[in-house]
Amino acid sequence: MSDAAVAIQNLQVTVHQQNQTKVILDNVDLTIAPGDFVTVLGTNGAGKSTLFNAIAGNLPATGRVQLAGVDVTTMSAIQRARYIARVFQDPKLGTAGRMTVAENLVLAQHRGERRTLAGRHLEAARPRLKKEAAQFGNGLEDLLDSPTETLSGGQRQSLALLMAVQKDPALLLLDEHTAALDPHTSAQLMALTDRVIKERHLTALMITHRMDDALKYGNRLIVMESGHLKADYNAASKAKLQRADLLEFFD
Amino acid sequence: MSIVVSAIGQGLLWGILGIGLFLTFRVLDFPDMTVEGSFPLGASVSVAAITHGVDPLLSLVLAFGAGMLAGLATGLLYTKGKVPVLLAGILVMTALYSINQHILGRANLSLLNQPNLFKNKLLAALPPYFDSVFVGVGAIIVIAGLLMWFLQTNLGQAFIATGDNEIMAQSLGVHTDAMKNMGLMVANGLVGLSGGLIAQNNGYADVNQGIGVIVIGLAAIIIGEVVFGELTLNQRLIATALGSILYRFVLLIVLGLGFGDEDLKLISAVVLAVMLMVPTFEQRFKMKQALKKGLEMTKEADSHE
Repeated sequence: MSDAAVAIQNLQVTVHQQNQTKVILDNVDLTIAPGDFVTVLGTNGAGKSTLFNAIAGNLPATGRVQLAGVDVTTMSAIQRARYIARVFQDPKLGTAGRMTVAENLVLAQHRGERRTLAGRHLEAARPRLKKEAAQFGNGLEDLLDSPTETLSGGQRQSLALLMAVQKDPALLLLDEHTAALDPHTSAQLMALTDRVIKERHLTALMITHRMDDALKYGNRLIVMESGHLKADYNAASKAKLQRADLLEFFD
Repeated sequence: MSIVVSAIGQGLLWGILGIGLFLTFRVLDFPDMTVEGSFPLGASVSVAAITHGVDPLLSLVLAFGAGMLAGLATGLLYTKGKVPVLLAGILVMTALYSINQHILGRANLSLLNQPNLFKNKLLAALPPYFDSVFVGVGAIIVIAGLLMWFLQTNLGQAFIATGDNEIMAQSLGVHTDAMKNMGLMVANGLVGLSGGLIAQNNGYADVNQGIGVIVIGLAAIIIGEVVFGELTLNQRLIATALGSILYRFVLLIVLGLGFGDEDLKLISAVVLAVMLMVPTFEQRFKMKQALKKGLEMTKEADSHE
């Protein structure tokens, strides 16, 4: 299984509340091939975010996590940043608001690296950053020197996505990254996400509540329910999948 | 005239404290109470070292180092001990009160008949009070220059990002705890240096010298922001030093009105409180203006119908 992009074994998360132990992620096994774009569906409390947090190392979990052949199980969330990039639902979380767009991008360029006293070389990077920002078609390339807090939600999320893929992470986690946007902007960002993932051959997991997005994008779909993987559709079966088939999971 | 020169000199020396505080209060975005202990610590270390025969300039390096240790203590309590940062600072500040007495061996120690940076031949040759201006300008240029360089490095950017958005910084692999510790160390190092310089300028160190210094440092930052408005991060470092000078002028004016030295702390607090409220009032004023304008426009529209 060493050629898998992601290999998760027996991943379990338990929480203790009022002397009760509750399993919120129950022995999840998940193997993802390189270049796969997996959409994740499930009701609230199904364990989708918990799965992401456990993979990213933000939650104490038992089990094993391997990314691109590297065992990251004992690594902290900060150490795992070398392999995992994440785009959050809240546009405010993904970028540093008081820093400019260019500063944020340069910061992301050094994901997981030791931060040294070497200069950031913003000016040298500018032409490349401008070109990368331009592919969104939302004017981001003209805002390189603006603090990101002055950006629109859509611009901020596309910047967060661009930052996440700066260093081609072994795994891209998209945590409902279009949920806070209006339908039009959301559709735009989704199309862009899909393009970026394909162009860069990234392996990605995407949580979404938009069933149409889950069906339209990606080549694999998993459904979670009360901490388990309830269903797993590969590319062929996903292509045949209808909206109605999925609705039964949400009764 | 000499009163104004003296105020500028004092403002510059205190400006170092303001710049130190800027790193924690504005960049890392949390209040660091340690400064009330690291300021007299720097003063005590510098003065005690000089009385033990250490060169005055070298004593300032020791003051800087002592301040860094104080910052590290607060940082470790905060990042590793998970003590809330405000409380961590108060704990260290309180502990330092005793430590400073031990360093001085008593409650205050004079530099009478001792060497002193300001008794240096070159500085002594300057007209009265110009020595502190000279030293202050030199120190601010070096410190601000180093910080400006640092903030543009990858490490400096990671430091800024930690204060701006900790979750994002972590998700990019920045060791945010290390950044906070580093910030607290550099900040309190600068505060200690400021304490050492002011003690040498005053000619003594006193364990009670730290009371209220956080208000003075914050006043420098806030006055700089209120007076100079929107600036880049680099410019804000200089604005803080200038704010510190302006604060001295405010004090001069207030003292000129007949208030005594015993009123100084009350005045500092009032000055800071007023400065902190300026943006709120300004906004409310602007909103009123906008509201008025809006009303007039609707009225006009009505009358045209």
